[in-house]
Amino acid sequence: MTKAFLLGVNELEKMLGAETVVEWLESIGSKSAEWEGPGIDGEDYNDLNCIHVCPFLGKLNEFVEAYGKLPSSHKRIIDFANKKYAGSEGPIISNVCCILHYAHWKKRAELAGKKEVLHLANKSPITAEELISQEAIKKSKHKPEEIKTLFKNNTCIIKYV
Amino acid sequence: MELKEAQKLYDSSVRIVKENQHKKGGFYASPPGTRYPYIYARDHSIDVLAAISAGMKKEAKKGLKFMLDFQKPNGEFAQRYDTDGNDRSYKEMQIDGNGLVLFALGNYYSATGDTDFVEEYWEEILAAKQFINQHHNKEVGLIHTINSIHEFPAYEHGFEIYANSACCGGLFEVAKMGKSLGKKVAKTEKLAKRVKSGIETALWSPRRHSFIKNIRIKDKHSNPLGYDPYSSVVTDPDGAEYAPAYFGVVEDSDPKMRNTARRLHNELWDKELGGLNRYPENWNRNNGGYGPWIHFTAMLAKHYTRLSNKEMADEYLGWCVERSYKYMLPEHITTIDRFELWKEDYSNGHIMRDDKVVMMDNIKKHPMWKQGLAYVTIPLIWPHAEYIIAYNEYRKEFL
Repeated sequence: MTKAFLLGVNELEKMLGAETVVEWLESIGSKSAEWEGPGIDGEDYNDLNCIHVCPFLGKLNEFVEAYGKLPSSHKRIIDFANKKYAGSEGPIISNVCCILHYAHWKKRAELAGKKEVLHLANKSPITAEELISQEAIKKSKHKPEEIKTLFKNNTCIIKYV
Repeated sequence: MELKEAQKLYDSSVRIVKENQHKKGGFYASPPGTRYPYIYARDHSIDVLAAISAGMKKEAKKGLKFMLDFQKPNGEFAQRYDTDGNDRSYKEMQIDGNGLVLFALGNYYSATGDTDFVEEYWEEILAAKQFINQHHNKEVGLIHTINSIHEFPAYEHGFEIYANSACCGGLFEVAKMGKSLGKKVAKTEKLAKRVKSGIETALWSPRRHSFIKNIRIKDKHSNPLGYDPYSSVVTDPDGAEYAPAYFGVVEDSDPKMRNTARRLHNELWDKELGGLNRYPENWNRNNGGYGPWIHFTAMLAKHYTRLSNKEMADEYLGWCVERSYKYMLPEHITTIDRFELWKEDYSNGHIMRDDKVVMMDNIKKHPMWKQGLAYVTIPLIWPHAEYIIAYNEYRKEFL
């Protein structure tokens, strides 16, 4: 079903464009967070929170394998989202699920009384490309070396403020 | 059993449980700055039961209030919380938490008659019950979960005995509290009885003379169950199979429970170290190496106390006393050989994690290491809580 959902994202982008799909994914993440209630995602490491393994890793890779490559629609969504979210808070988007996932974290954190969720680093579950937000790291007041060390064993690093 | 030492361990346990209750009500699983500085619904509920047993009613109420105030919108209690009540779960659903909170609440109500408290939280109680009901499978009559007492889906995903016993015990407590308050609880009682029947039939093996661990089923909605992709049965001995008596679903004197406890003793009592292992060695998921667990040993001590079997109660509870270090209890103990074997398996298997490396360092730093023993996570609050409960029952029965 997750593969079908990712295929649906592909079809929807063709029909409605990247902007609408990004809003739709944000909305899913936010609404599902309301079901879950207040919460802080990720394991604690010295006041940072880490996601060890991307929960979408397996299905994203199965989808790419089935499709033969990452669809261009997904690339357009990722590019649009990264432009939209440019700045110190982020998020950093490496795949379409990041949009939903970040909106989910953010809403749960907001319900828990947090003001900001800084997305410091994101390792693509598809290509293993390492994406780092220097602006977010600077704002977090953590040292880049600390993030680099944590990044070895984690897929995402977050700072709740 | 050395009675003076047993009393000293009891006093220390009460102090440790008290000291590890945060001012907002949550009981830490292990003290701040150690391995589990969070409020786990399961450990926390056992701590509440220990507080009730020790006459710490104010602490018990505060603990229950914490859980009920931070219930999730869907009626679930999270795997774990931070001290402010934020959900900090990192594992999937474990429905025994819902059963445990309701069971602890029912025990609190029986001990105090605090109707105002139960009335105040009746809506949350019903939401917790409803969440259990949503995971009830009508074909087998049991409650479906992903994780349970060991947080180990490979052996617990499905209709698992600890989760079912906790939920069944919790549902009976809701029915009891509801009746006392004049609420309509006939459906809750019917559900509790259906789960009880499921435990006594589907999770009972007449040929093995034992309760069994789990009916593996991937999806709670699978119909018929036989075609579910996971469909299989876990029949290994597991300390969790004592749960039907722990949660009052069956009596300790029930032949089913007596035979199950005998099987657990025969197959899980550690021949080298004493104490009860939680499950067979080949499951290979004891962080730090295979070895006996204090809180499972204390749970079964209670069984023998309830049967007035002093010899066995002494063996089980006395072992907990002997294994304490400066009146503190670890999660479990193991030998250096077993520790090294586990380390090898996890390192070679590429599944060693940073937090486990920290845990290994702490094990080696502990004074018992020089005596050839690995004390894993000390103190852990849960074994202190189980010891309090077991010791109080022992004292009432034998002293």
